[in-house]
Amino acid sequence: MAAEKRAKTVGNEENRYQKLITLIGEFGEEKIPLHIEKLKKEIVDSEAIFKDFLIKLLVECSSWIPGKEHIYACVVVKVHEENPSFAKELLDYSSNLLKDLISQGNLHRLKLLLRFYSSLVSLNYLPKSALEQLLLSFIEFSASETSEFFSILVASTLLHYGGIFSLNLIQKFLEVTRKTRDPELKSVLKVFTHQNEDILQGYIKSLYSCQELGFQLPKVVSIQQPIEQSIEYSFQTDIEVTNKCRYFSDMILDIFGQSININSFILQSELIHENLASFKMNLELTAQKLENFPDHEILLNTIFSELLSLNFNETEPVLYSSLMVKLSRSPASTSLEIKLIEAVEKIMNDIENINSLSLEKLYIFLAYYISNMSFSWNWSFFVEKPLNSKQEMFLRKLLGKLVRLSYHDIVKAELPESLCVYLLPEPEAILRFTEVEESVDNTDSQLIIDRINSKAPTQAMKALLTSKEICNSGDLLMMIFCESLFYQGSKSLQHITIYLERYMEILTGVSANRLLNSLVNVWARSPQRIELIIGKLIGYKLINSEDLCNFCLERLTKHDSWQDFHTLEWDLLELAVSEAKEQKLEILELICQSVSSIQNDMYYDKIQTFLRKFHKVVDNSQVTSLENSLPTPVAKSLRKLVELR
Amino acid sequence: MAAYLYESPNPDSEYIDRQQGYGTEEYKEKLRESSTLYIGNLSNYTKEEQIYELFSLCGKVKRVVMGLDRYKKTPCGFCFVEYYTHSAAANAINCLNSTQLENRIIRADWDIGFKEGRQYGRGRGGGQKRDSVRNDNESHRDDEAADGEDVGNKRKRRN
Repeated sequence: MAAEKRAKTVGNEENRYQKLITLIGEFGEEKIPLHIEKLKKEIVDSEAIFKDFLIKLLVECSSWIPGKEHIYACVVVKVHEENPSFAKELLDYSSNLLKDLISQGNLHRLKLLLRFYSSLVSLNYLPKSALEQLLLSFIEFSASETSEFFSILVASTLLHYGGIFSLNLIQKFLEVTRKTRDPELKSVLKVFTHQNEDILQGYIKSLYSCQELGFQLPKVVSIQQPIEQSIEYSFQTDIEVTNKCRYFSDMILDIFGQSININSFILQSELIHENLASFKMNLELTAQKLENFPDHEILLNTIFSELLSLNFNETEPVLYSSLMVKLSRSPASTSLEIKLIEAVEKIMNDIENINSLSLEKLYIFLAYYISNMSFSWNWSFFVEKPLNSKQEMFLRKLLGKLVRLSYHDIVKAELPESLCVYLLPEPEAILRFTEVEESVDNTDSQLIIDRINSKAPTQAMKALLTSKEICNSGDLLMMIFCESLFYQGSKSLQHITIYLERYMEILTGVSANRLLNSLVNVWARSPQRIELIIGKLIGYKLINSEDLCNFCLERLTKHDSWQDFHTLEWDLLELAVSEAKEQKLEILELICQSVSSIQNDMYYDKIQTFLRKFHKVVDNSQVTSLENSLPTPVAKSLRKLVELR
Repeated sequence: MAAYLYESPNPDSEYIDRQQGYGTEEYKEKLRESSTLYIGNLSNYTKEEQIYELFSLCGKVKRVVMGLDRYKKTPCGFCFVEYYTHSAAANAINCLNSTQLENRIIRADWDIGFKEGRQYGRGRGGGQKRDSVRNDNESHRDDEAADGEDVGNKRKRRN
């Protein structure tokens, strides 16, 4: 009992320290010195019991929470004045973390940790020579490595704390990074075809301009005076660089077409990127951190640069959209929403130059956002002038997604009348045999439906299908059976699930092609239902990914619609690859081979978008086998994508 | 992710469904490994495919089990969403909790996993427990959905 009580007390104390350390600096600038003083006292008083916990927490916060490294540096220096061994142990702990972060290739936390060290240098706690030595070893890595990992790391540190380092160090870095970048590599990163500036170039430009105008003074000095004598310390520089230290800077996005002030853009945009990297697994917190960000254009440029970037992650659209929904509930939301609408309009104006994958992410992002705004959106861009084919396709996709998230009539009610023509017809199941095909006797269909409704077991259904009551036979009968079953199961997904399970024995004898054809016939007006039911058919092993792939390729050939890249078949091909477990590469090969005869820009674009989504399933050696069935530009870009990982 | 720094390292309490028969520790252990979510405050009009569409944005959904009124066997405002992975479920909690679906702010919470029988409401009237104790128990919920019929059809008739 006593031990339990003690554990609870320790737990409560840890909770309290965690709040104190994590939240410091979040109650207004003027309270920071007082809170630092209080925290120092707490640490000095409780160090005997909670030392390990406190050291770990301080280092975690310094390397995780953007914009507060100077506060933690002040705390360390204050504690050092009363308890030098605590501060020294903290430095040793952080030095081990530094090595771990390099071996993990965690650029984000390394940037923050180096800023923390820079703050300690500006307070004269850590010797400048020690940190410069470490930075020099990173500059050497940036000269020898093809990745920009260490270049970005050093550039970011110098941009924030350039004033404390020697000019020699800065010049050495700028010389090393002067080499031009691989243009092929740059081209696979572009969201818009005319983008020509990447983040590393932005850092370098800013550094040159700071060299001329002078670096800002580190914030830390305004809170705490530097101490007289720094400690003796040197970092281990025998660091092993692993292949995880890879980074290629994305392109700088300038949606609003303003001439960006690169210094302020890079610093502010970096802060937003860092908040996203640190907190995006808690969007409420991310929104709190970003809701008072003053420049909405930089905020949107930065969020969109992550959203539209070509490193495909299927959950990004909803993540950023959900963040935008949360931000739109904040007090400054009106002007942010106006800017968001403007950003979308600017992208729509420039739609010919935007990558297809980015557009796909954008319509998912917008659909989720609009559905959270009760389907209310400013549609004037789409209403006021004639749309080109790409804008029209975007609108159709967006509206299609909105209907999937709600009901056809709800979406229609909120749309301007002139846009309703872009909505798909209301989803509805169709049973052809009752009206359309007079050549087929529909009494069979009716008999089957009656049996389904009376919950006839498999054996009873089998008996019916072979009885004299039934007029048709063979494949035609199976087609009638499948379409009747899908039609009757159209009431809900639960209905179709029950029917598939109940008549599994019969369905296992039906060819995959027949099942898929029947499904597409019944649900011709609802791609969503088709996809969901195919998922179930695959789950019950009634069909597999290869069947689905062959079915789509056959239909594309039959309808000679290879070059219409917005058809259901292309969506189902994506489903086939994502549902395939071990055979993803084989399915990709099958698709690439089938379409290799087409040689035009639209095809290159489509297949490139396709491969961008699935390149993670391909490794370096497998690229060669795919390359044979790909046009040269697409193959080159795939190889670059695989190298970038 | 740094968000953990803003949470208490020693949480005092967590909702535990005692009816599942697990001890506190065992229950929490199951939650840590779970890939299932409980989704509450749904409209009775919400269709299963809407749930699939929304939750698939965060990862591949293994199955959706719609919550039913114990007596009427009609949708009663909750469901279970099972993902293939724990991380996809965590994404959904992060992104989709408090999202608006059919004009309602839905609630996403961890669940230890679906078992047959849990799809039925535990409230006195057969629906959700929280509906039977809530003052503003929306009377329209009772007649929103008809047995076995696509809620979309029923909704259209009401309109």
